[in-house]
Amino acid sequence: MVKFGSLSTTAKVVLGFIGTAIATFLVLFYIFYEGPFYLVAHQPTQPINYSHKVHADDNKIPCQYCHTFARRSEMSGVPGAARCMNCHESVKQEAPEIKKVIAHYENNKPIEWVKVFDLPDHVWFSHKKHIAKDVSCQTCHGPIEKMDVVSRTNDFQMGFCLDCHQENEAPTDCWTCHT
Amino acid sequence: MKSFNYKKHNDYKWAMTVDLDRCDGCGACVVACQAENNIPSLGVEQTQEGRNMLWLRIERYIEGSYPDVKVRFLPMMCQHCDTAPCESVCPVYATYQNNEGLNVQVYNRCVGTRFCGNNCPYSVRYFNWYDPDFEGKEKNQLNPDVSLREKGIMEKCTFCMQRIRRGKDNAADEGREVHDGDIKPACVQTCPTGALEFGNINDHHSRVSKLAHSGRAISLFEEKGTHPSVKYLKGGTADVF
Amino acid sequence: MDRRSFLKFGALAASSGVMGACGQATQKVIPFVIPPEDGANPVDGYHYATTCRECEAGCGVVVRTVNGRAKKIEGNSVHPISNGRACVKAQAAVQRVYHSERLTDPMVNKNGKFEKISWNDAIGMLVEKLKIANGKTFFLNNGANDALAGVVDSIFGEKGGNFIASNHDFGHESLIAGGSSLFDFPKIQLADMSNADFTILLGADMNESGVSPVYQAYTFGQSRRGRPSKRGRFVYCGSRLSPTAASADKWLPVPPGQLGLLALSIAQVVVDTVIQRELAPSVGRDTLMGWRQALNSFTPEKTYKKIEVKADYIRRMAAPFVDEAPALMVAGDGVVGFTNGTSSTEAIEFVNMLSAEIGREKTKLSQAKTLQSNPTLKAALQANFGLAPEKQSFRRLKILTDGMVGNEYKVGIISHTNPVFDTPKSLKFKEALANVPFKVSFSCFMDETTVECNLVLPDNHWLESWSAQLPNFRPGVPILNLVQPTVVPFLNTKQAGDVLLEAAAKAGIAVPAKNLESFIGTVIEKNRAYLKDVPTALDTKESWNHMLQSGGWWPNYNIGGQAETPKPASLSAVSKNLIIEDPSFDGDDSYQFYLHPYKTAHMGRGNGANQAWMHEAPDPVTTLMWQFWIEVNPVMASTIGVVEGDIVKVASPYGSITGPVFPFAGLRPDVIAVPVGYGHTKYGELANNVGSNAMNLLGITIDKTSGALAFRSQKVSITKDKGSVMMMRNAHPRGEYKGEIFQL
Repeated sequence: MVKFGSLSTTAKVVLGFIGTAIATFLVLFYIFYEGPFYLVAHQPTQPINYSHKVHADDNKIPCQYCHTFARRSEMSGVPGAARCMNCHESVKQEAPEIKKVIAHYENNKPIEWVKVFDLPDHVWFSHKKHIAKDVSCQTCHGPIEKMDVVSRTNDFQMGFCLDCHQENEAPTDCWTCHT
Repeated sequence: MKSFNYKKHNDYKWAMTVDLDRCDGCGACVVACQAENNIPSLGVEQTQEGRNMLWLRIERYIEGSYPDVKVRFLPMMCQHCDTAPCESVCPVYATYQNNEGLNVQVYNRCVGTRFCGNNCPYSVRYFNWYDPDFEGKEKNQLNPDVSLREKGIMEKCTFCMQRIRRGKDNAADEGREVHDGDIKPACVQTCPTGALEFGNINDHHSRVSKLAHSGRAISLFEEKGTHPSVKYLKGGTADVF
Repeated sequence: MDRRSFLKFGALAASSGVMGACGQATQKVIPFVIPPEDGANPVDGYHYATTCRECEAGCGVVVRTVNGRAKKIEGNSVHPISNGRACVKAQAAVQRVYHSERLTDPMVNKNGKFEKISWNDAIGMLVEKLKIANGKTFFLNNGANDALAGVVDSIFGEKGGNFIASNHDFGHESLIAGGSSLFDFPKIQLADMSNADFTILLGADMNESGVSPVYQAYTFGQSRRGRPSKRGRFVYCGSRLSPTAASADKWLPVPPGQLGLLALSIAQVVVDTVIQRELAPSVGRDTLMGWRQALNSFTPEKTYKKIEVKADYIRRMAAPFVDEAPALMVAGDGVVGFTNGTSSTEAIEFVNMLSAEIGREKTKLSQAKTLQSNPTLKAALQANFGLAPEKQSFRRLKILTDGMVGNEYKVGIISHTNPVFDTPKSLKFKEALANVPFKVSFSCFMDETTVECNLVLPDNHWLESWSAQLPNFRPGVPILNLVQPTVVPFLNTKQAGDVLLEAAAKAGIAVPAKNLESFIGTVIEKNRAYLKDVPTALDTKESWNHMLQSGGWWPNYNIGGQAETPKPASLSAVSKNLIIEDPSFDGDDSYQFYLHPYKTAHMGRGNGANQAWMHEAPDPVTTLMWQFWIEVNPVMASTIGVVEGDIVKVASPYGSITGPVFPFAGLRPDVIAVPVGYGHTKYGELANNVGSNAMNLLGITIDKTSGALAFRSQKVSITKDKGSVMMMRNAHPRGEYKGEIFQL
C-alpha cells in the first residue's frame, strides 16, 4: 500500500481533485434524488382554466364520468370536448372559459391539454388494475378534487409504488411495471 | 426490506417450442418481432460492426456439397433459461429469473456492463450503442406497450411480456385462468407454417407442454446446463430415395 | 452506500435519457373532440379486419390501431387464405404507411423538378388532359384484381383507343393459363397440401414467388406435423436450393426448363402402372392407351439421358401417386420462367388429376373445384372487381410499349407499379414512356416510373383505403376480399379510385359511381342474394358491416376439410396437351450460364427496397443484410478464381451487372442466381444504389401460350471484376449448433 504522504505533490493534487469531484457528485446526486428538487409541484398553465374543485367537489361529478377509460383501460382518458358539451350544452354557456370550449367543439379542434401526471417511458401503469382493487384516485393524484389548478403533489418515484405494493401484497416482480 | 418470494409455486411457467421440421425460414417472425417490440433498424454502418439487434434471428446451417446439400434453419431468440448464465454475472441485478420462468431484463436498472451478453452462450442479448432513432412519421408506428430502450443498456427477447400481461389481465377480468392459446408472442402469432408454439408448460394439457414432452424435444447447449424454456423439436428426414 | 442508493446511482449514470423523461418537459394530451367509438379499450386498441395489398395473394389481416395509428398487422384467423398468419411483407406494411419518404402532396413535374400543387389544380389538369385525349388513354396496374381495376375497366374500357394492361408478377400468367386448360375456370386453385403425404414441389418457392405465401406455408406446416402420426414428405425439384427446397426432405437439381419433362415422365410411370393394375375404371381404357402412346417418349430412362435425374428416382417419385394418394405436385416459379411454362404447368396438373382419379375412393384430395360457386356471382365479381386474365399478360405490356413508341396514347395512367425498374431493360419501357405527352402516377412513393410522370398523385396506403379484391390464386372456395380504411389518412393524399372517378365525371365520361366505396357497396348490394352465409335477412347496412367485420366474403371452408375431388371432365381430352417442347434460351454459346433471377420474400420485385425492416431482416439462405449478392456454385467460383465477397461481373447481350459473389452449394454449376429488387436509382435513400438490377440482363423471351415473360430464359457470362466487399451476415457470432441440428 502506497502511503499518501509518499506521493508527489502533483499526484496529491490530482487525487484530491478526483476525490472532491466524486464526493461532490455523490452529494449532488443524493440531493437530486432524495431532496426537494424532485418534489417541485408541477403546475402548468392549461389552455382552458378548468377547475377540478368546481366539478368534482362542488358539483360532486364522479371522476369516471369524464375519465371514462380509467376502469377499463391502462389510460384514464382525458375527455374530448364532446364530453364537456354533454352538460355545457345547457349550463353556464356565457362563461368566458366555456365559450372557449364551445369554440373548440364547434370548430372540431381538439383542446391541447398539458400533461401534469407523467411517468417515464420505462414504466407501464394500468389504471384499470388499480381501480379494480379499489385504490382511490387520490392515493396517487392527491386531493385533486380540492384543486382549482391541478398540480403534481407526488414524486412518483419507484419507492412510492413499491411501498404500496408491498403493503398490499401486490406483485413486485420488475416486469409488472417495467417492460 | 421484504424478500421476494421467487420460489413460491406458480401457476404459470411460460415456454416455447420451435418445430424445426416445420420452419421454412421465411423470416416473418423476425419482422413481426421488430414491429411489436420497437426494435430499431441500425443501417449499413452499424451492421458492419455487427451491432444489429434483431431479438429473433434465423440461423442457417449448410452441410454437404453439391448435389447432396442440406440447409437447415433455426430460429434463435432468448432461451429464457431456468439457470441462466447471464443472471449470475449482472452486477446490478438487472437480469433475473422471475416466478413465471421468464428471464427478466430491467432496462432502468441496467448499467451496460455487457457482462450478460458476453456470458450468453446463445448470443441473444443486444447492446444499445446509440439512442434509438425513430424520427418523424415513423414514431406513429411505435407500440405503446413497449418502452424504448436508450443508449447504453442491454435488451433481448421478452417472450412479448406485454402480451402475456395483457392476456393475464383479460383472464383476470373474466375471473378465470389463462387458456391455452390466449397468449401468443408476435412471432408465434404470425408464423405461417405454425412452427412456433407458446404456452404454459405447467399446464399438462397445453399444446406446448405436449410438444415439449413428445420425445422430439431437445434443448440447445444442453451440456452447459442452462435449462432453456425454449425447446426445439427435431426435424426428421424421410428417406425419399 | 446501501444497495438501493447504488442502484439509483447506477441507473442514473447509465441513462441520462431516463431523467429527461422523468423531468418536466411539457407533454400534451390531445383527446379527440368526439371519440370514435366509446367504450372500448383505447390502449389495447381497435382491431379492424381488412385485406393485405402488399402482394396479390389476398390474405385477410387484422390491424391493431391505437389512437388512430396503425400499430401491428396480424393474420385474420377466419380468413381461408391467411388462417390467422401473416408473412413478412404484411408485417412490414405498417412501416410503409409511416415511411418518412411517403409522398405528401400532389406534384407536377416542371422540367424534372416536382412542385407541389393543390388537389383542385391537379384534378383540373387531369380532367383537361382526359378531354383532349378523348380516348387514347392507357391504364397500367400491378396485376391486381381489385375495385380500382374494375372501375377503370368500366370508365375507359377498350373504347376509343383506350388500353388496359398489367405489369403482372413474373410468370403468374402461365400458372393461371396452365391450370385453366384442365379446369373450367380462369384462375387456378392453390393446392391444399395439408392432407398430402407426398408432395413434389416443382420450383414452387412458397415464400418468394408471391403466389400465396401464407396459404402454401400453412398447408406445408400442416402436412409436415399438423396431423397425428403422419409426416408429409416433400421433394423439391429445381435449379436452386431455395428456402422451400431447404425445408423439403430432398432437393433434386434439375436443369432449367426441364421440370415439365420430369412431370411427364412421372405421368408416364403412373399411366403405365394404372394400365397394368387396372386402376381408375372411370377413365376409359382407350383414353389410357392413348396417353400411354403419347407418353411413350417420356420413359424414365429417356428422361435420365436428358436431365440426369435417375430413372429409379423418377419411379420412386411416381409410386406415391398411385399407391398412397393423396400425393401432389405443385408448380411454381421454377416451372413458369421458361418458354414451355404453360405446357409444363399443364403436365403437372394432369398428374394431379390422374392421381386424384385413382385415389377417389381412398381419400379426399384437396386439389379442389370451386364449391357451390354461382356463375352469375362469379361473372359479376369478375366484371366489377378485376380484369380479364388476357388483359394481364406480359404480352399486353409489350403491345402497350410498342403502342407508346408508335405515339398511340395521349394520356397514361400508372397505378402502383414500377415498370421502368422491374421489367427487362431491353423492353425499353422508359424510352417508350417518353413518347406519351401526359402521364399520371398514383403512388405512395417516388420511384423510377413516377419520376418520369408529369403528374404525381399521392395515393392512400391500403391501410387508409377502400377496395375490394379477388385473389389471383385461392383455395377451393370463391373469395371476395374487402379492404377498408383502418386509419384516417394523415397526409394530403386521396384514393386513386376516387380521384379517377371524379376526374372522369368532370371530363364527361360516364362513371359507375361517385366514389370507390359506393361503387363497392352497389356491386355487393346487387349480388347480395348470391353471397352464401351472409344473412340476407339483415338490412343492407348490417350485412355490409357483417362483411367488413370479417374482412370480406367466402363460404364456410376448412383447410383439409370438405374439398371435393374435381370431376375430370376434360381429362379424356387432355392427351393433346401431353407434349413438352424444349425450352429456348436467349444468348449464344459465349454465354455459358443460365441466369436464375429470383424474388426474395423481403424485396419482392423491388418495392421492399425502401424499407429498413426489409433490409435488416436477413435473407434466409445467404443470411445477408443490407446487401446485394450474386450466387454461384462453389466449384464454379473457384474456377473463375473468386471467394465470398469478391466482385464479379455478369453479362448478357443486353447489359451487365456487378456484385459480390456468394458461393452457394445449393445451386447447379451451370446456373447463376441473382435476387431481383436491388439496384434502385430513384426509390429513396435506403433503396438507391444498393446492388444492381438483374432486369438489366434480361431479353424479351415470351412463353407463347400464355404471353408471360420467360424470365429465366436468359444466358449470361460471368467474369471476375476488381475488388471485394465485406459480406454482412447475420449468424451466431461464436458458437453454433450445427452438431445438434444435423444429428437429428
